[in-house]
Amino acid sequence: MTKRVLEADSFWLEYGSTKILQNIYLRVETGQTVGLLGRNGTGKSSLLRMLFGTLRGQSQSVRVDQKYLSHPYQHKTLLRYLPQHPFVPPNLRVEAACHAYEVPFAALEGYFPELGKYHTERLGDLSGGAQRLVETLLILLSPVDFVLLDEPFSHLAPVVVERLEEVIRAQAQTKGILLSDHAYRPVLNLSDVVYLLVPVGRTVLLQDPLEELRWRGYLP
Amino acid sequence: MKQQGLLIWGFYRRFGLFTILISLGAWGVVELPMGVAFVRFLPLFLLLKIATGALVWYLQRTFYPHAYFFYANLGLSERRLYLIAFGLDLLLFLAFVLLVHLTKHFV
Repeated sequence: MTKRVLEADSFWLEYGSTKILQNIYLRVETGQTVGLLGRNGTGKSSLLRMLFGTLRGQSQSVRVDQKYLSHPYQHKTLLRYLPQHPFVPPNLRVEAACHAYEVPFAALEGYFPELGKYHTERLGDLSGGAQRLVETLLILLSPVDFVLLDEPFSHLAPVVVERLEEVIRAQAQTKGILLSDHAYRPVLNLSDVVYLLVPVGRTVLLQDPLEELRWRGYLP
Repeated sequence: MKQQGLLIWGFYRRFGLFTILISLGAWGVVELPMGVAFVRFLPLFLLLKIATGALVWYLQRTFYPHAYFFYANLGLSERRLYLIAFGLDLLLFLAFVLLVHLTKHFV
């Protein structure tokens, strides 16, 4: 399988006089999981949205296989993005959401048999945890080359997080996964490469993640 | 294509009843004009629709800011989504007016 490369740089995002992002470089290859860590408010979600193409900054460059894309999300089989908050219309049934995203419901059920009972349920009727899990799996199992996950482990019980890690590992065989979450242990466990987003809007590629996260004040 | 149509219809349904009622209300206020009178009513009506559209967009952005990502993940831009939804809204209203006109004419 040909390896694909997603790269981002030249990001500049500011609101008024407040700079959010200004010195970014990120590289994700298919077959790789890349972790993105950073304190609250450093601009992780903004970075993911700019990469996805729905947020436009003062400048940005997103390239796939060295080809510049102005709105990556409009390339249907290229990438999908899991935002921090619920995004599937609450009145949509789980099976309809799966159909729309071309993800077989059996694949969700294969990883999490307990989801089987939600087949015909509306997303809005599920518990917060179940809804988050279904949405995360919808993105993760999508037939695309790259997935961007913003806090996929929030609202999930530790035992579910552990199983979700297995799904991410399996999907990373063929996809490029960019993973951002405050639960740093699963992020470090899963990631081949880790970037830290530091003020003001600068990415740092970590060589020794655990040690560097400590001395940079991200970990106690 | 059919799947995308159904999804856009689902998006429109979130506010469609409100916008259709506004259209019918405006038409009712000016005493249900038909023919030439309807054409004269159209510019003002379109201005009202633009204002209503802006209000719907603002409310959606304020109260459901993440809902749009569902459609973005399917490759639909926000602009395209709203343009299709508002086009559909206009089409439904015009179809209704035409239906009333034909009913009056033939019955």
